[in-house]
Formats: sequence, structure tokens, C-alpha cells
Amino acid sequence: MTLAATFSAGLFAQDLLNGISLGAVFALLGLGVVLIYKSSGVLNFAHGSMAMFSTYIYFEISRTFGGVPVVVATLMAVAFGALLGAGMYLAVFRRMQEAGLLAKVIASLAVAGILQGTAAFLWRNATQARVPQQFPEGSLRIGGVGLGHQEIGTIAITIFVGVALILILRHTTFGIALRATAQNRTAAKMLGVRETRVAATSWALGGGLAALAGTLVIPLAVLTVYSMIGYMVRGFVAAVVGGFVSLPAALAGGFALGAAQESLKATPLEQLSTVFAGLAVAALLLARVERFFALDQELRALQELG
Amino acid sequence: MMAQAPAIERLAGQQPPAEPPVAAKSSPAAARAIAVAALFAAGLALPPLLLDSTWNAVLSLALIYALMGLSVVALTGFVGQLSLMPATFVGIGAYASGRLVTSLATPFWFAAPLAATIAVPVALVIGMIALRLKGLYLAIMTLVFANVVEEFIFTKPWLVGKGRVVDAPRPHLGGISFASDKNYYVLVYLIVALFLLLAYNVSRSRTARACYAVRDNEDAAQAWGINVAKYKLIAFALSGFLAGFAGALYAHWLESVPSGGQRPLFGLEFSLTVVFFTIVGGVRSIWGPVIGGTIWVVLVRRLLAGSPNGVNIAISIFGAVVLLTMLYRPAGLVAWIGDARRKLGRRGRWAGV
Amino acid sequence: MGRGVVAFFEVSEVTIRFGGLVANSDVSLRVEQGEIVGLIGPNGAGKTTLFNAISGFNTPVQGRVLFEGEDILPLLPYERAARGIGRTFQGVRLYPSLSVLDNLLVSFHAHMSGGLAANALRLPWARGSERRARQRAEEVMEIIDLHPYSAKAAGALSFGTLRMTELACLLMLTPRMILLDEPASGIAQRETEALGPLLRRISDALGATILIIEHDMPLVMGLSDRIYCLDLGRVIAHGAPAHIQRDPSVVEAYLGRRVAEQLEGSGDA
Repeated sequence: MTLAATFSAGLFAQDLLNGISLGAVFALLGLGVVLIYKSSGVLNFAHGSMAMFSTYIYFEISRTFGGVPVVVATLMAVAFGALLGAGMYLAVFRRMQEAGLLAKVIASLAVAGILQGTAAFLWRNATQARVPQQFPEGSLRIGGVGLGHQEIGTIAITIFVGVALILILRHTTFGIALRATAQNRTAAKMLGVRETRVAATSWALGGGLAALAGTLVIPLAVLTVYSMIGYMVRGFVAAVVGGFVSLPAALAGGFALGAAQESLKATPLEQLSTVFAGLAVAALLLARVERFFALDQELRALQELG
Repeated sequence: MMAQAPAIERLAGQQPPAEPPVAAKSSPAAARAIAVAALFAAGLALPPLLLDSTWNAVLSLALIYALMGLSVVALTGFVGQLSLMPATFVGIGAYASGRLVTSLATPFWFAAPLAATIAVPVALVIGMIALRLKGLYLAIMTLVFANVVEEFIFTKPWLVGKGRVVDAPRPHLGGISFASDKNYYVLVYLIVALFLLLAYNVSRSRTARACYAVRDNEDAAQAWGINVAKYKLIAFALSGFLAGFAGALYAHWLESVPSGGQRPLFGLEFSLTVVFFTIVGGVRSIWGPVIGGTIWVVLVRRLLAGSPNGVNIAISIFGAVVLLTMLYRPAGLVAWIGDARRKLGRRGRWAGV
Repeated sequence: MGRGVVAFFEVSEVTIRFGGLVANSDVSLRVEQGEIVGLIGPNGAGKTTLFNAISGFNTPVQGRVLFEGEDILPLLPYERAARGIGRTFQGVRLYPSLSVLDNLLVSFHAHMSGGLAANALRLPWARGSERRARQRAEEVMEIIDLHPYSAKAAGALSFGTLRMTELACLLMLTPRMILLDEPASGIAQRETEALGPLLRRISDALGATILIIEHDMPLVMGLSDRIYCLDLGRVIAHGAPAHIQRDPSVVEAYLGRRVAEQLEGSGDA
């Protein structure tokens, strides 16, 4: 098979579009992970579980209260996600501010485990659940390619939310406080930043974003307790693009990751599509991307002036 | 501060060092040796004699899991490198051992060590990348790898064969067959006990101390002439080998190892489980994984065996336990036991991690 | 000391810069074998920076550092340590979760033999090396009276004991030249008073040469054979302790010109 024969522009374009819509989900998750890390130094391995749990809540609301409009149910799930995030911070991570990296990682894994187990138990009779779309069925086709309304809606919402967050971080008191905390916790505290409040809000935002991601993407697939793990992992990669502190980079990175990952399927390198996230993260980390975005608390000053 | 002049002079080489008196085998030491031997014999003989096959199978699995956890101790406990992909190396060892035995007619006694050795270069690759990454980023990278590599490596026919499963028959030695669960338990027990013995020796030696130094204060270690890179790589290689060997034992415990399918067998979930129970048991002690692994296996395989969501419930319980451990006893369960003899220091509550 | 005699240890016209900041400028000093030489000066004078240059943690833009005639600047820190130059730090660089004994043994790491396999199998040479190292550690702990803390984790020790442990780690390698960076800082008065005689004893018995940065004047004046005073990166005075104490430029460096003038005027300088 010649190179030309295995590469079809039409397929490529379609995969690209699919990738962009997937990338939107990665971006939403990445944004949440970044917010959480910036505010509390926690690498939230429970992010996928939070998304999953909130999506199950969405499932429960839409199946139990059939009359509730889908959008309302989604918003309720997002609100739940925000409460869950804030709750997790207040109950667990607020007490671990002085802990080392390993302790925080393990704690978030523990919370993930609790969420997984609880969800598996609560919805043990709905192990493969389906949830309704927020956007009307059907798709938009132009030329030979098309994208479902749900996917287009997801992309639009992601861009809107992402830009809104970036603006919030730049122009609101909360945003400035968060950036100050991320840069230099001690100095920020001395300047009066209420660390707990900033962190709880960030975790709430993160939880809400996770819920949003789940409720937007799961309608196109099947909901199991493991559904969001793969997305979370790729959300992490998106966060890495920004060194875990840059929102715009996480937003763009998520889209780019999705686009790249799916486009590979139309090329002779299609085998690499599944591991693309792994290759990307290794390449990004080795290229020391974080150097451009390093947090003060991660850098250790080595100069000792006598 | 009273100085003893003879001591200084000895140090300065002005007097030959006094030979330390060879202690006559005092009673406490002899008693301890007997106790250890008795414990070893009990562990070896009692389960096959007193318990049924199912229990022997469960205990074998506990020991195999302990060996997986030991690989986490070698890496995270010893040199402080957080890798979230132990199951990947377990998988390599499992499939390799099975293929070696079935497709290449290698006896188990060669196949298992060989399979473990196959995991080592892969571990070294991760290790070399780790040299350039700070803890946070290594954790992320291994997390991502644990998730994506499973689909990529463990679906390749050259590793997992053309069928959906890789067979891994129980071994035999001359006339003795280890096919029965009880016999396999004895085999696993002996192998894991040997690893623990070697690990114990190493943990009190120069090699381990260098690793601890790297873990605690990498810059100081480097400044004092410890080759940080070398010890990190040694830890990665060792960790890969231990996980790989555990994988081989696991494969032959299962007797057939599935591949592909909906839920990856050696993916992120398995990796995190291993890391989890090792932390709970105590990540800085070679006995931590024994404790953690045993609790985990017994919990999942026996107590929750009837429930369809057994694993998830166990994860949940374990998660809660781990959280409490993190918040109140970061050194792990092993610190409760033998607290008086532990050298684990505590600077605030978090010095253990 | 005539020219032409090779000093045991010599810093020759060393200048150290960090970007635009000149930390040390044209610093020269000599130390003879067995001497105890003090390095004093107000904060920011460049004393620790000079130590860092000597032990290899920064690079002078100019000048040489000679140990027994050999220029050690091209050597890596642990190579300089292997030549016999030991050093303590202002902070303490130990391993918090390891016991005092283990900290000492780690210091001795490069002088022990036995790799992973040898230790796993407890081969004879690994066991013998371990035994000898432990014995040496016992002796060092005896000198510094650290036995009570032998099994305690370094992270749980008081600051004074940490300093002693650090000194003990140094002694494990029987250094011939010891750089001490403010050993008395953070230690209680009572212990400081014993520090002087201890250092003197170590120097006499080991034939070790000591270069010590200190702010504790009674300690450094009583201990040192000679003293160099630095200010703003330069050597402003050097000589016997008695001479230094009366040197007006030293007084000025610490207390400022007006006070120095007052003292001089009143005849107290």
C-alpha cells in the first residue's frame, strides 16, 4: 500500500474534527486540574472520578425526574461537582498543605478510590448507563465532513468557559489572589490572601469543570465507573502543556492533543494514536516545558550569598 | 563533651584499630534466630497442611502481590521516585513468562527470571527519563504511561501471541508438580521469602543508605560523592525486575493470562492498586507490601468475593484507610508494628513521606 | 613565610561574580598546615561565597585555589572532598529520616566497598567493609559524644546536635583541611564554650588544618592562630587575633565609621 493510498484527506479532516471535539473535553479537564494545582499544589488524580460521579448524578436526575429539562439537570450536576470539589478540599486537602508530593498524590488517589467504589455501589444496577445529550440530535455536514451538534456545542462551551476563566484570573480579585498564591504562598498569605477561600473556590471551579466535561462527553458514549479515566489522563497532558499553571496553554493544549491524537488515525501512523498522549507527555516533560511556568514553591533557590 | 584521646588517635591512624570483640552468640541473638526460623517454617508448612486449596491460592496471590509491592518500595521507598506504573512491568513479566514457557518451551525456572530481566531495560528507559524530571512530572508521566501503554504493548502479537490469552502452566521440577494450589503456594512462598531475605540484607547496607541519601537530600548526596544517577537507575532496574518476576509468578498463578478486551488487566487501575496497598502497608519498609498486599488480597478475594463489585468496594475501603493513613500515620501500618525498633524519623507529621 | 614556600592551602587573588554583583574581589589568603585560621567580617562580606568557591559550588572568574600546591578549581566538589577538604554548611545538610549512625555511614560511602549484589548476598568483603565503617563511626561518635543519639533520626535532633553530627560526618573521612561555616551559630552558649577546645583537640590529634567562618568573637579569637577579616568582598585586615581586635578598619567594617572614629578618639581602639 502506498503512502498516498493510506492517507485520505477526507478521513483526515473528519478525524481532525472529531479530535477537536474530543480535545474540548481534554481542555475542560485540563483547566480544572490546573486551577486545583495552582491553588493547593495538589495533583488531583481524583479528577476523573469526580467527573464520573457528577455524571452519574446527571444520570440519576434525568432518569428519576423525567420532567426536568436536560439543561437544568446538567447545571445541577455541575453544581454538584462544584460542591464535591470544594468538599474534597475542605475535608482532606486543606489539612495537607504542608505535606509532601507523595502524600498529596496518594491522598487524591485515595479519594478517587472512594468515589469509584461508592459510585460502583450506588449504581450497581446501572453499570452501563446512558445519559441524554444537551444539544439536539443530528449533525452539521459541510462537504464530506460533519460534526454532531453535541460535539459542536461542547467545543463552543469549552471555548467560552476557557476564555471566561482566563479573564477571571486576570481581572478579578479572586483571580489575582489565586495567581499570587500559586507564585508565592507565603508572600500571598502575608498580603492577606485568604488561602482557604481561594483554594476552596478553585476546587469548586475544578469540580464544576470536571462535571461539565463528563456531562458533555458521556452522552456520546456509555457511562461506567471507568469512563472518565482515559479523559482525565489526557486532561493531565493538556495541563502539562501549560506547566500546570497556565490556563490558556491548557485550553489550547487540550484541543491540540485531541486534534493530533485523532488525526493520526487517518495516517499510516494510526497505531500511535492510542499512545499519542504518552508520547506527547514524555516529549513535553523532557522539553522542560515547566521551566517556562515553574511555580515559586517548586523552585529551590541554591544561591547562598555569604 | 568529653573527648577520649585514644579514640582520636585511632582515627588519626596513630594506633591500629582495635578489632571489635567477636560477640559470643548471646542468648537474645540466638533466640531471635530461632524465632525467625520458626516463623519461616510456620509460614511454609501451615497453610498447605491446615487450609484448603482456595485459601492457599489466596495466600499465594497475597505473596505475589507483596512482591509487586516490593518493587514499589525499591523505587519509591528507597530513592523516593514516584512511579505510578508498576503494573506495566508486572504485565511484561507475566506475558513474557507465559510465552517463554508455552511458545519457546523454556522451563519455568529459566522463564521466570528471564521474563523479569526483560522488564529491566524498559524500566531503565523510564528511569533515564526520570533523571530529568522532578517528582511531580515523573508521577504524571508514569500515570499517563500506565494508562496508554497497556493498549499499545499488551495487544502486540509478538508479546501476547495471536490468541486472546497467553497460557502459563504451573511448573514442575523433576517428579514434583506445582500444579496444585497448595504446592504452588510452597513454591511462591520460597521464592518470595528469598526475595525478602535479599531485600532485607540490602536494606541495611551501603547500597540502600546511598539510596536513602538520594531520597532525602539529593544535592547533599551528590556533593558527598554519591552517584545519584547510578542509584536512581539501580532502583528502577531493581523495581522492574521485582515487578517482572511477580508478573511471572502471577501469570502461572492465573494459568492463563487474557489480553485486550474492555478493561485492561495491567493498566492504571492495577498500578494504582499496587501503589495503594504498598503505601498503606508502609512504603519505606520491605514488610509494608507484605502487610498491605495480604490485607488487600484477603479483602478482595475472600471477604468480598461474593459481591460483583467486590473490587470497587475494596478500593473504596482501602481509599478511606489510605486517607486516614495519610492524615494521621504517613509512615503506614508498618509503623504501628515494631515502632520501637523502627528508625523512621519524623519531622512534623509529614517527614515519613 | 617567604615567597617560594608552597603554602599548605592558598587562595590567590580570587574574584567571584554573580552577574553584576561582585561577591569577592581579589581575595588572597594562606593557611599553613595545622593552623586554625579564622575568617570574620560582617554579613554579606563574601565569606560563605568564598567557601563555596573553595568547595566547588561556584566558580571564580579569576584567581586560583591551591591545596598542597595543586589547583583544585577544575575539580568537582566530591573530588575536592576526596583530596581531603571537608566542609560544613550554614544550614545543615544531613538526611532527616536517617539515624545519626546512618548519616555517618553515608558520609563514608565512597570509602566502602560492596555493591547491590555483594550486599544482597552478604559477601565477605561487603560484610567486612560494613563492619569497619561501623567501627569508625563508633569512634567518631565517641569523640563528639554522640552515642546517646546514635539511633535517633536526624530530623528529630536539636540544632546543636545536628551540627555535631555534621562535624562527625566530616570526621569520618579524616579530612586534612576542614572548612567550618559558622559552627557556633544556633548553638547554646554552654555548648559553644566546649566547641573551641573540641575543635582544637581535633586539629591537634588529626593534624587537621581548620579554616573557620565565625561571628562568635570570643570563640574565633580564642581558637584561631591567625585571622582574616573580609568586608564587601575584600580582605581588609589580617593577622594575629590580638592585632585584628585593635585594627580600626575591622571595627569600622562591623560598627561603621562614626563609631570607629569615636572609639579611636576615645583611645579604646
